[in-house]
Amino acid sequence: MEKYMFIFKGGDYESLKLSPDEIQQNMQKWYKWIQDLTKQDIYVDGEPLEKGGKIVTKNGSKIVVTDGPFPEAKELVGGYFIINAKDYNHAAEIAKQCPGFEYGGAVEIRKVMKM
Amino acid sequence: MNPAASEKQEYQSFIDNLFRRESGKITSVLTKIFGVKNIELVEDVVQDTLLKALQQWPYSGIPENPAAWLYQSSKNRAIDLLRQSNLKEKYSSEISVLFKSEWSLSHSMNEFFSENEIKDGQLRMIFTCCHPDLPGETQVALALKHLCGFSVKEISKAFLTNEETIAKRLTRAKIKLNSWTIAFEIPTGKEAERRLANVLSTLYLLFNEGYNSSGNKLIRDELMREAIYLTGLITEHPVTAKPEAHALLSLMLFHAARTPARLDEHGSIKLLEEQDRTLWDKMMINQAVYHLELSAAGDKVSEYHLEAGIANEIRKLPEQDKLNNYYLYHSVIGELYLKNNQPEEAKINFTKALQLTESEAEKKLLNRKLNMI
Repeated sequence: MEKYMFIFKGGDYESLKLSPDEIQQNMQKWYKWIQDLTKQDIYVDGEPLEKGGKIVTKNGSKIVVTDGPFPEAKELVGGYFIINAKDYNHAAEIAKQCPGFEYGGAVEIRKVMKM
Repeated sequence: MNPAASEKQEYQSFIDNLFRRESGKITSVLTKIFGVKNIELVEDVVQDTLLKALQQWPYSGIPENPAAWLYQSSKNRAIDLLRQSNLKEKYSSEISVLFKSEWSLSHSMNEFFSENEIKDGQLRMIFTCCHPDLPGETQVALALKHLCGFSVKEISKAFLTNEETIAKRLTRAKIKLNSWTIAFEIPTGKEAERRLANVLSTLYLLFNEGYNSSGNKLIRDELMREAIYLTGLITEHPVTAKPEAHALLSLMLFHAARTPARLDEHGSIKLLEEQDRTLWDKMMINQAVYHLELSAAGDKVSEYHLEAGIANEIRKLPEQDKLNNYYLYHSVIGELYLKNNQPEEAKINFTKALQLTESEAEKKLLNRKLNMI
């Protein structure tokens, strides 16, 4: 088993004006998904990410801190998982169960470097 | 208990429609603070809170007291908003005087979310949404939106109409309510009786939307449940717990209790004598009888009293074989259906009663009723 990172992108829940019931249903799906993956020893770690943020870059000779990024809704990273999977195919199969697809989300999968 | 079983239990015991129910409560409390004019701001706070829960709970686990978590998050957001001095003047004047210091702000905020304050807020919201100068359908839509946490889409599904119609209805209502500078309160004095009568009438309308609907079963049950819940709030508050409110609640519970037995496999209505009584919801019937007894206080008899009384008599009538040849039974049932805007069932029952009676007077009366349908 190898470690992979799921990067959850998109799914602009705010603009969709979901009803309380829809939000609860989706929340329960996410909760159940993490519970199930935990039981299977697939889920290792994960966190949701707050909106907003800072960007630190070098501009000429100076290092600059600005607010950002402010990406398009579909590029917005909402959170991540670290999971155990056999290979990319296996990881992708797992990712197919993501409840985020219902509301326009996507999953980017990256293998964590073995060191 | 092994870990897997206890976790499964925790997941399944998570209450159905919790977010909907709590969003209604939070909306009511925050409208007390920010005023009816700022209801959109209030809706944003509630939305933010629920979305926070959506993001966090899958990772952190569902809190042991989910409602308390939602209240805390809303309180924090509300405090943030109140600290922004440029908004302070816009809020309801009776509230702003409480927020004089940092300490009193958090303390006051906690007070607002106490159980009694929440119920008080919900009642104020009921009277505001069910305002007699708004069309009945609009009142129902407002109640579903602000008290019951339904979205425009969900309301339109419940009314079997399109979203645009409901959205327009709500927008027109908002404009009217704003222009009236309506006070967010439970009416007292001379107005109280008229306002309560209107609220009860609207809640009955909401109930019947569910009871008489030809739509999806789940939605029908939900609408009846919401009507029962809101009428229950009315019966719990000392100012509004009038006999007619108890009578209305009783009658709703009697009707709702019979729902599991009311339709056959094809979705057609079964006559009362055809219904399998074992399917009637016993708990609801007990509650119905309880509220019927409470409605007997005082000397006023409302239309709800009559209907609830009839519903109770029917429940008490002897079993099937004795019933079928009892013309009075069919007369009474017919009346009940007539009152409930169910003319087809009324016709069937009056016709049966006509066949069973020998009395000329009774026959005349029944024929007259049949001709009127």
